[in-house]
Amino acid sequence: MSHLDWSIEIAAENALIVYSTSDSLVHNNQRIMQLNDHLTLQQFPWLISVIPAYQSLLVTYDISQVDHYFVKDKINKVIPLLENKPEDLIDDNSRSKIIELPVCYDYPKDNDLSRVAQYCGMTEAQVIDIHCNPVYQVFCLGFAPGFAYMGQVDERIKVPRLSSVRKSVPKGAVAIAERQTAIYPNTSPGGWNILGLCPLTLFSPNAQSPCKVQTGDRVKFVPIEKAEYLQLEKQQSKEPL
Amino acid sequence: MAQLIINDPGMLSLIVDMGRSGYQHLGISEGGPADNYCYQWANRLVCNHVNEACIEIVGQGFTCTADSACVIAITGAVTEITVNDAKHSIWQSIELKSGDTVEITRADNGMRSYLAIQGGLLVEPVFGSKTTVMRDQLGGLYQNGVPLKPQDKIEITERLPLTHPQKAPPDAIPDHLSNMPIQVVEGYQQGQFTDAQKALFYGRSYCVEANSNRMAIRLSGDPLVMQTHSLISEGITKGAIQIPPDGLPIVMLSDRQTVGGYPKLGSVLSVDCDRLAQMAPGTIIGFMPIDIHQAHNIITLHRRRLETWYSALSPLT
Repeated sequence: MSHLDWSIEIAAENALIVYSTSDSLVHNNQRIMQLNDHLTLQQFPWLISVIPAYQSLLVTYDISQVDHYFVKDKINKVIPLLENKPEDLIDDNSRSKIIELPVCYDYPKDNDLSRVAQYCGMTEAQVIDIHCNPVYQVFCLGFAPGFAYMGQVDERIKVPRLSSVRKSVPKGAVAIAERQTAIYPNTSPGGWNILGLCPLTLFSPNAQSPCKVQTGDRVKFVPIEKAEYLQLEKQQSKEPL
Repeated sequence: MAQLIINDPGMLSLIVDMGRSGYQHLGISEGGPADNYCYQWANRLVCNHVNEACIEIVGQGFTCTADSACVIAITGAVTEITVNDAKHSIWQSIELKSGDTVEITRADNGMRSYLAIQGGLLVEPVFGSKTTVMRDQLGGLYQNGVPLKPQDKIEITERLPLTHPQKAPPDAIPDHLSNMPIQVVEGYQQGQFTDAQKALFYGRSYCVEANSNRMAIRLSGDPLVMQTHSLISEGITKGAIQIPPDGLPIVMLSDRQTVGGYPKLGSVLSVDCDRLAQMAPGTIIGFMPIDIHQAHNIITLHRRRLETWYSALSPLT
């Protein structure tokens, strides 16, 4: 057991941030989610909130109950428990399930597929193939409720963010930036390159499980035709929450 | 059912409570009052628990009418109010009769005032909170993040009058125009900033920009030159000081996004976040580093002082 590839820093008067610092982003993210689960399952009365993201966990605590020494000590005691766990245990939990999300590529009209293809020196069909081929890991939810940062996107279709932000990105837009991909859960401004649209609702505040995908989940995009998109979208709007 | 009718929401009026804590892992902003101190006082003066929803009001011009007898208190930036066009004291409980109209006629001690009603606002919570986060389209009167509009009617609890009027002691009323340095608990990537960079940051003064809001205070001044420009996104605390590529610090407040990828020097002490949220554009500020032990000491003293003041008031209802 080594603590060498973990570090804990003060973030604020009532928060510590824990970093997993091994070479693998996927491994770091899995370890962060294990630490997240360990801490949240115990329902410590002093634990106010946790934010897992990529390779860090922000732990906010109640300073009228505990101080940073206490919380750091707790975390340092949990870390060896995680490290002793065999790797394949990760595949045991529900996080290993693959969530399939349908995508109608090259839709809506205002998308960046042809520009991305040109930038990468390939055809639009090749960009789509490369984008929908991998199983992506959800590294983090952020930016907006239910907005899932997924990766890693293949180097061959790595493109920078737009130089100026789009005023309105449609709900369901499937987009890429650098080596990340995401779906906009609601209409919002955005600077990522739009490749297509997903007809499913990703964030429904009144549902029992408000976010369709969560940090640690794995996601696969499945290309669909426009007719199927329209049908799925119609179904979705009828479904009770 | 008793109601509070909004006649004029002024520049911006939002329903807020302590915030939507515990859902940040879903990308949902914490929200909550921009100035927690004045928000808490408003609730305390009507003997409410700390998490009862209040109205956060920017500037002056806000008017509302109570259609039943109720008890309210107004704190924060407010310096003058009227009840049925007659001047009335602030930072104390006010008994309203059915049909009374309250107006904030002056608010020049900061940016934001808080109006609390005994028994709170009867609004449906979303993710455990009534707080309005416009960007997330969550909370508020219609649960969709929309600010209060003219003719909005908020259901309130009809209550018996308080046995004694409640009043905040003069020492408890903050001077939001003070320019005491903003205290910073160093943390996050502070080790990546050189001593020279830190000396510049703490030695300079910055000006609060007009595009500051409940999400963040933006500052102008001499930019900090940075080697690293972005990092992998990570959770953002309230008060976190981000240094984006342009080198101009941004202090994150209640409605901040949950994660971000700019290097951070540390976080502004919570009690100073309250002060920052009250600063008008053009205010000149400076920063001062403190260590975590000093921070705990300041917060503990702050809480003890509040307890002492609160213990002189009637118990919570």
